[in-house]
Amino acid sequence: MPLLWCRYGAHLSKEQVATLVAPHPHTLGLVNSWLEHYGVPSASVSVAHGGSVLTLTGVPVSQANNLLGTSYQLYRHAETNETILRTLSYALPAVLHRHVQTVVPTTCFVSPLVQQLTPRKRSGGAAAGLAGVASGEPVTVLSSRDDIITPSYLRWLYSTSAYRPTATDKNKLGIVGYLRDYPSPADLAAFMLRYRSDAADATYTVVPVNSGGYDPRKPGIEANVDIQYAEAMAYPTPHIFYSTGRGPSGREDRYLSWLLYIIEQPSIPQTISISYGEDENKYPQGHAMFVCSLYAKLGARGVSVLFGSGDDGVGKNKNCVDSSGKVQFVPFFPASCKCDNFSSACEHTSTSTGGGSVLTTFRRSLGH
Amino acid sequence: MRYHWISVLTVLATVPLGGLATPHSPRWNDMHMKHSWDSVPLNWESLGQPPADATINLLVALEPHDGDALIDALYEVSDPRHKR
Repeated sequence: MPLLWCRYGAHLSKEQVATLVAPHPHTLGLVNSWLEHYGVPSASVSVAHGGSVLTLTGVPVSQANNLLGTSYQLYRHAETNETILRTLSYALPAVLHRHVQTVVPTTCFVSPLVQQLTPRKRSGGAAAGLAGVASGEPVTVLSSRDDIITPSYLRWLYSTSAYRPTATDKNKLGIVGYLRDYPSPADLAAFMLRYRSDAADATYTVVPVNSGGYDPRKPGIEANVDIQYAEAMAYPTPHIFYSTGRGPSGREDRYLSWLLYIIEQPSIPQTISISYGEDENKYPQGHAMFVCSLYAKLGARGVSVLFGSGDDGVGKNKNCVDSSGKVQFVPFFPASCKCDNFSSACEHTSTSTGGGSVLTTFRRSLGH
Repeated sequence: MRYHWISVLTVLATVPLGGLATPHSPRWNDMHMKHSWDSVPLNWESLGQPPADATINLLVALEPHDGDALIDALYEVSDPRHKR
């Protein structure tokens, strides 16, 4: 009998998810009244994602300042010289606080160009010799080093050495890249010849997102590593590389750009790998919760999204401090983005003690 | 104070929306902080205000009508031991 109503594996469609997260009609009415009060023309407002996201296009900054009780300024990053339009604080009418999760961009200063890459120390070496070269010549030092994680080691570790993926006509694996970080098919061929000679014809397709580019003659280390190791594990499952740009304005949030794109797609690869992240305490809480809810939408549709959890275990020496300087571990986001973190219902239904500890960490570190 | 009482009475009389009831004319200038930093985040420096004619695209993420529905559904379809 239980099987009749067990919903395990009964993944939702895009439309079903949209219905689940739709705001209350009262929320929409209230927000529209607010925008109208501040003179935002309805023609510049578009509704997306089942009504859960409003996009206001071409708002004069002076009007945005009034709307959010703030003062937008241009900020420049010391290392990358990237400039972004942000504010140190923003406000909303009290009546809107429980109706609006976040407004973007406001106080999220995560750099579009600075990236903290995931496990480089041990896995980076094998592909780093190829990345950026596009010459097809693996570095010879590899075989003499014992701290290199090779595909054969990983396949042994996960007991998949003899496994050959099935249903490759249905399954897909997505690799997400951001900005000008591209893989190289020549480097992939060289890598596979060296480490998975039985899969030397591995290939991938490139899907541009939000004006993302692709120049395989100028590969980036991260994109190369990601596609090479994914192929070495999952061949012959078809691979898609998402090259995510920052939109026509060149200033859009890279994580959100890809997320907002992918949840609009009727069909999504069953597995997505994202090797980028930032310290969680760089994210305003509302912004982080919004990003997490978008990943939860993917999960409800049956998509497994894999993140790196950082290069340094629980943290670098002398670097484990929160935003107030207190010594504690700093989680990596969005790897720390468990659904337990933003739903009291999950708190009560989850039986995972691990989830509980993540919950505590997440809440504590976002408490700025 | 008088304005305040009038608003409450108006709501009670005309908008039986339970917990979601709000005045007909919300006080849009009653601004409360949504998020703020104490100082400019590390590695960033302010260049001042943008040009007077600058525009911005804003995304407003709205709370779902049922805050738990998405996560409940996620667990139901993802956990083979889930009671549903």
